[in-house]
Amino acid sequence: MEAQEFLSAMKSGRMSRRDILQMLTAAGLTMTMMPVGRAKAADGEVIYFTWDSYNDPGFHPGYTSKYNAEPEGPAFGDAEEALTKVRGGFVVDLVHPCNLDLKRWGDAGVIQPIDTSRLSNWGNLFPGLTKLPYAQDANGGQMFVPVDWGNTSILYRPDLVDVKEESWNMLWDERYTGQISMSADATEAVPIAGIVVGAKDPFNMTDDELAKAKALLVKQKPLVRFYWDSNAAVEQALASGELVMATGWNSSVVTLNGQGVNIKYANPKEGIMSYCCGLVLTKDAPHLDKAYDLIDAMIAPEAGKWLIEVMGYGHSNAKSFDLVDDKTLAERGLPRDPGAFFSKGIIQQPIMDTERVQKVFEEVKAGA
Amino acid sequence: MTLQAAPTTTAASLQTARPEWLDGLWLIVPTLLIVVGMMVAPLAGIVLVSFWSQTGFDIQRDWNLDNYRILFTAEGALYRILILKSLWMSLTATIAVVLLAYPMAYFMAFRIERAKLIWIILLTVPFWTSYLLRIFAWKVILGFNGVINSGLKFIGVIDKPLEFLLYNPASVTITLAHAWAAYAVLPIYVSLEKIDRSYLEAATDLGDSKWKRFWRITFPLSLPGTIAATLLVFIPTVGDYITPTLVGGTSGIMIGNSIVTQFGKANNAPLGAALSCVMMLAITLAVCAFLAVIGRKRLKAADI
Repeated sequence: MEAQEFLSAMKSGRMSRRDILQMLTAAGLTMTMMPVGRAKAADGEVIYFTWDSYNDPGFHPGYTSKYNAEPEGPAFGDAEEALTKVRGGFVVDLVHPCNLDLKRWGDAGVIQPIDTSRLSNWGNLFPGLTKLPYAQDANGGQMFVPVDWGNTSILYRPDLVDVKEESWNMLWDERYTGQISMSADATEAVPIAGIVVGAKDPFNMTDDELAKAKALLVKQKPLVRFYWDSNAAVEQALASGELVMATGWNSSVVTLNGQGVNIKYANPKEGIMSYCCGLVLTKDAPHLDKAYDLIDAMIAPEAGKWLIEVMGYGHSNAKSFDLVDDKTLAERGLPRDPGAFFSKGIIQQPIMDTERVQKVFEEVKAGA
Repeated sequence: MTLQAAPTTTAASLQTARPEWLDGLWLIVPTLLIVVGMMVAPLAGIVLVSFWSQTGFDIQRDWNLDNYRILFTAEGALYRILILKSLWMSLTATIAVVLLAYPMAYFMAFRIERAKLIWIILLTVPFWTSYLLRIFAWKVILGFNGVINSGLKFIGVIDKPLEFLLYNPASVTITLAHAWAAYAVLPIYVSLEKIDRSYLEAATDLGDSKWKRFWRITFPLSLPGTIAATLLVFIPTVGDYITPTLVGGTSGIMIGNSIVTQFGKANNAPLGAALSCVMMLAITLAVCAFLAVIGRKRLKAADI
């Protein structure tokens, strides 16, 4: 029965009880027989599993104009949560982890090599970023396409915090008890404590160093208002004055300055932490072609221009920097060449034993 | 006499009928299937997994008691404290809920004459919104620039926002107490509604004051609903993890958060399963203790 016909029959009361029952049975059968999960996902949009608030059309203008649709964008709070979900059978095409997570994604065996010949913008990416440790697998297959890079440092309100010298130690200042926030992500929080205790490699600490870092985090806990899972929460709390400082990323500076909040991004004397995030392709990606289109759209120069100007992050494509003037770059603390940039600070290194680090931080958080 | 009568009746029914208890079986088959499939099987799965162990990304099916050893030795002191803390927070929330719900239920049962249904519906209106939304509402009320803080600031009682309102065990308790209110009001209301009004008249006639009448007639007869409400709120709130995540901050976390972490970030499902089992055990013990305090005699009198 056609929909029109069905509606008019309903209206005029020409439907018999039997007809309605038949329709309901048919509808019920269709619903139950409908292929669920993977098969259903196959004809939808590409599924791009990313950080909270990172599925903005600005990231991938090429994809939006080609398909006149947006990727489906489920969000995660940290990359470990994302990995757990993907391993647990959550079907997605692309995920947006960062360089320090790459070893773990490779080990988990949930991603596949990316055919870079299918990416028109591949040739213009900074080689320093495409060849980061673990961006390629043992056979030389490209497992990771870099997209955005930036810093992790301390966001603080210069009007509310008295700073003599910018240092990671600021996060342990007891004068600001209950006004500090720390990332809930162990792979960020634990290395920060590692830097403060003076660990040789804050990303891969010895047992002794890790114990010291843990003690430091326990000491910090009473000062912390909450451990943040989304940068939006941090931005709101900093804007209202509920927090006076928090660990955070470049984009929050641009967002908060845009709202007229007096915010400063610290350049700690121990070194600022830098990272590079990008895309990995899952092994059983149901929308392979669209996934390649999304990758290519995200590393295109016009996407990079938006990323730099609106979000305040660095981009992986050298051409995007040609589209941006020096003043904009300087305001965001971004250099023309990430190579020089990365040699200056502390690059986040892949953590060899993430579980050990996770466990330590979870114990700190759970401590009653 | 019964001895003689019995054989004849049994002999007659033997050929025709199956045991009596089987008669209703087909009626409960759908429910039974759902309960077995959705509850018993997963529960058995959790118990099973708790005896395995995790290495890297894989779960090893080696039977051992390591997870329980961790939980019951010095290594797991943290988790035991968290369980006790969660029980304590839930208990506080439950007491608050019942104390708040009882007068509401009493009012509906005894004071409302007409359109009771509308009152019940009105009572449940806040519960038509999502649970998350209700928690967020409390975040807005208790927050740094929230309703309470800006209100107090406006009338000049404080000049700096009160920070102790949000992100601590108390805010979790307050939020839980509100979020579960409807679950407590309805059972108490039902048992109050059932009370035969002539008992109350009799008590008055025999010279009881209003207060005395309440404690001797109304309260004991409403015990079934009150106990049901207590359990209905206490049991699920112990394991809650969303409320502490949103309003608990660093000090208000509960055992549920720890369990979620084990299954997610910490990537140790067997330990998480063992934690869940120990938590369920702790809740069972707490409930048994509660029922023992109420006393078997009183329970029997209350007809539960």
